[in-house]
Amino acid sequence: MSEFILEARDVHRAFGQTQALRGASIAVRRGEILSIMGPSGSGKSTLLHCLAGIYTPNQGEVWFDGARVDKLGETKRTELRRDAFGFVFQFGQLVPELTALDNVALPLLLAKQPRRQAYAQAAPWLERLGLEEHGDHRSGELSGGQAQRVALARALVHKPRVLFADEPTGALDTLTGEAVMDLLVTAAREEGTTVVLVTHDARVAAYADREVIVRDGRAITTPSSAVA
Amino acid sequence: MIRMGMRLTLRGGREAVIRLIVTTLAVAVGVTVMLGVFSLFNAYQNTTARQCWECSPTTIRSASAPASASAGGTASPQGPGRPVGVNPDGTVDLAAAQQAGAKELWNFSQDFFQGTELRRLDLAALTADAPTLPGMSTVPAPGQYYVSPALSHLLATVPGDELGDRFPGHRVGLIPRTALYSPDELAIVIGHAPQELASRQATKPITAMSTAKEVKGTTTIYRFAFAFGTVALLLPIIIMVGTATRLSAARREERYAAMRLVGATPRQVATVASVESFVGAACGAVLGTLAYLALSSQVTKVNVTGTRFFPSEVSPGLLGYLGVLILVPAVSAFAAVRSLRRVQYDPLAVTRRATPKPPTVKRLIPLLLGVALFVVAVNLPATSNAGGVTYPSLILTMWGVVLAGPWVTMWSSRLLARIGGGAATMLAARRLADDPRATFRTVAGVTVAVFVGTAVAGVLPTAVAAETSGQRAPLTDVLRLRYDLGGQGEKVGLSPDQAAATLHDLRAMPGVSAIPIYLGAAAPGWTPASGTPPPPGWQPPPDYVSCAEAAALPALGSCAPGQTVSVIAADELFIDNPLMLHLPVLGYSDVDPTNGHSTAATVPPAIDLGKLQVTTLMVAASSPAALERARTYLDIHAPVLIGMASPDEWSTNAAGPMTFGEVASVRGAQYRAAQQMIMFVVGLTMFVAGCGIAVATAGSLVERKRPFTLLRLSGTPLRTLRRVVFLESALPLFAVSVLSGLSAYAMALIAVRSLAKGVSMSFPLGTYSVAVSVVVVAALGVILGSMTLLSRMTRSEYARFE
Ligand SMILES: Nc1ncnc2c1ncn2[C@@H]1O[C@H](COP(=O)(O)OP(=O)(O)O)[C@@H](O)[C@H]1O
Ligand SMILES: [Mg+2]
Repeated sequence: MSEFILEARDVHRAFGQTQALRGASIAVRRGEILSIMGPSGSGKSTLLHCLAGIYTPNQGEVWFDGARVDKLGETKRTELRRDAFGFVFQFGQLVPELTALDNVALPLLLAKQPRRQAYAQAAPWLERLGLEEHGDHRSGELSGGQAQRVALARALVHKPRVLFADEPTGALDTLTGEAVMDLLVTAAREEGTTVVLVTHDARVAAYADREVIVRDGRAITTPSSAVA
Repeated sequence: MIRMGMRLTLRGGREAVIRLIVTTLAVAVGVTVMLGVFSLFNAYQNTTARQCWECSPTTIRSASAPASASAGGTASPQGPGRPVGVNPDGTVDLAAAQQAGAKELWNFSQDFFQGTELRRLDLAALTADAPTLPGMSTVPAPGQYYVSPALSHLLATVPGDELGDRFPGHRVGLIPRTALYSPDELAIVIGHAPQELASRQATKPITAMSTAKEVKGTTTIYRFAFAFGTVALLLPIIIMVGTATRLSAARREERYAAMRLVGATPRQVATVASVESFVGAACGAVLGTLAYLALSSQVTKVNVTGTRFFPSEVSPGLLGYLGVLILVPAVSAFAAVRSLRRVQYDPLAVTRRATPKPPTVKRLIPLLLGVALFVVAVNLPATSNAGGVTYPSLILTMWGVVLAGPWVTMWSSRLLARIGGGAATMLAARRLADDPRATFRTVAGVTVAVFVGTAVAGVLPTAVAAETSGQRAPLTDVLRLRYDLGGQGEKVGLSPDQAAATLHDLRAMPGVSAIPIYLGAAAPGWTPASGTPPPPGWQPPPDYVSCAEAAALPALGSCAPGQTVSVIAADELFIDNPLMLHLPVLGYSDVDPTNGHSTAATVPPAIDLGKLQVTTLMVAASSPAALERARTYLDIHAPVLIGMASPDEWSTNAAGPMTFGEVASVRGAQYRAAQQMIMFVVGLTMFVAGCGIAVATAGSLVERKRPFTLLRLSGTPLRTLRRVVFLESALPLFAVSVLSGLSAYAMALIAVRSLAKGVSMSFPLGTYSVAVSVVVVAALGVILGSMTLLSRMTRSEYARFE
């Protein structure tokens, strides 16, 4: 078994004229919390989407657990996302018409778990993230911090191997952001989940074990992290 | 997943509820209208499938070809000899007829009461198995008659000397529904003793009644109009239902993308989406069906073809109900899945939506082509098959208007941006210019309706008016009877004695005046009795009128000073072709329809009108009641008796005791039925299109709840937001309606100019303006109404950004 659970090798990705990634390589170790940093527009999100199998690279390879992700078909990648990955984005990843509990149970329901079991598994997560009183609220009625906590619960409920977080605190004030990051890191460590954390905020990046900097579509591994 | 879809649909909060309600209502309106149209179409189908008992019956032909059927009105009265048992004077030789195997004596005639056609069938049974009307068990006995319900009602309410006295005997029952076209139809079947009916001209010995279906020439017009109407109506229904089911598509796309992100397969998303659409459409279909059932008693009163249908036949049928209840939800679920294709493959809600390319001038090409083709079509010689060019050109033009719509919308929005300052104008113009296709789509239905309505308003009233107006307008209520078509084609008329008695009696009636037209001596060299065609150059006998008597009807023209008798082109008095109505008749022997000239003729000296047969009577009356009294008198004492083979011949020869107005109305009935039907469709289309606008406006509001709330939070007054929404719908509505109204008016003008020379277009400006104002006000009202949503939706307490 390789040391790395997730790897991008010389990944290129363009959107029309824009070259978002021009040969980015990155390797994520099992169980580590890795932060991807860099200025806005540098290609961080694109790299994360490629790693998570949302985008397929134009060139280069993406490996997950010893298998090529970029070669998988759409259905297989969907199943991979459903079963092995979890996501927390800046905002907008919840289904506004559903309640907080519904949203948390959603990945389980999509994976065709029986309803009862799905909700039984989802409810403790709300409690764990201090949301037990908000389970019946529509996610559209939650505050930003609450919504991010629901998103976190939803991202972890199905025990994913990797949690992808793209600016998870980007829409929150500092205090709330720190609270959400605390919960995220604690939960990930308890579950043994590998975390890929995209941020442009050094304070958020500080939660990571190791950091990678992306500039102009290329990943640069910093000297400090090379030590780790 | 189905459960998830249901949950999202039914318990998804305010917005989901609004969406569900709007979808349901829109589908319900569409379904109600569709069911109504199905019902009327079914009723129409049933009506045309009815047995035409008044059509040509089976007569007995000469011994060499016994009992050959004379097919649907094609046999002319001058046809291959007289049927067996018919005397040369048009009466029946009873013994001969019975010997040849006749089962019944049959005499169909067409009468009128106050402008309404009345079908009259006189019968005398010769055998026990004599044929009778469908649904009736026996032939009425001598002295008895059966009437249609509408005539029965008239007989009970109108004085006998105006109507009832025309019919010998007494009422014994009603003609069954299966023998009638409409509950408003006037019809009577009268029983006679064989001897009595045999002595009447135009009676025929028959062996069977016609089993043909209705042969009226209007059938194709109706078929065309129904097809056209269905398309014209379906388009806005589809647009409306489509708009409703795609309400706040962008918001939903985000949500589906969120589901895709956490691992929903495209199939799962499709299931959720189709469940949502299905629920709305199914609720709508059920609600629409219930609404139709509640309204169905009103639908039966709808007068589509000029006459009402029997209420029991106005039903969409089991197939109609099933089709609507199953197909509508199924199709909308399918449409929802299709419209999702883009999202299915992208789990990141794509917010960077490419701005669609602006529409180009090329969109005007089909419109221009259509108009050009139409100009060609109407200028083709009348003999060629102009319909082959006319219909495609009409369809091309209509399609062209719809295609040009987005371009016009774009340009009018640019114009708006240039003229108007203000934030509202800027916001509205920006959105219009951004996606003119989408904005135009919401008003497309109105555009089509305006086009059809304007064209119909331009052409049909002109056609109808041309027949009853102009120089002959004073003749509209003059009865004219034509006696010279009796027998088997010989020119005969009332004898001098008969004429004198009739004129005496008529002139004794208060408020009645009569003008006889006399038959001159035939030119030697040929008689119709010879059985050969007339030799070239042979002139039919001229008709004369007394100048003193003709002066009572100045519309006929005037005699030269000192003249006492004039030639008159009597045949032309029966012409209702609008192209020839302006030609003079008094002083002319003939009107040539091919070159539009009258042939002048002079009167031989020393002519004694009192010794001549009367071929034509013109009777004017001072009141409708006096007119019906005169008609009743004539029906009894001087009936027009001609051997017409079918009702079609009656109306085309227009020989009955009809007024000029009634002649025109028999012809005009086709136009008016078509007009009525098209107006019906236009009205419904307007209604559906108006609902479509409401749905679209509400939809665009829900869709842009976020930006609008933001604008309002940042200090934009509600008034400005209202103006934005209003401009967005009203501007394309106005601009494109003007375009389609103008092109339709232009086409109507071209049609009238080139098809009917000398007839000016009679555009019902008053009615039209009222109708257009009503539509515009209704549409604006609808837009304003959907704006009540605006203030509630954008209240700051809902300013949540999820
Ligand atoms: N879906 C897309 N379509 C077009 N361009 C995109 C898309 N996603 C990203 N880009 C472009 O690629 C570049 C990198 O974007 P992104 O990966 O989002 O940067 P970051 O997350 O570091 O801010 C930017 O220039 C951005 O405009
Ligand atoms: Mg980013």
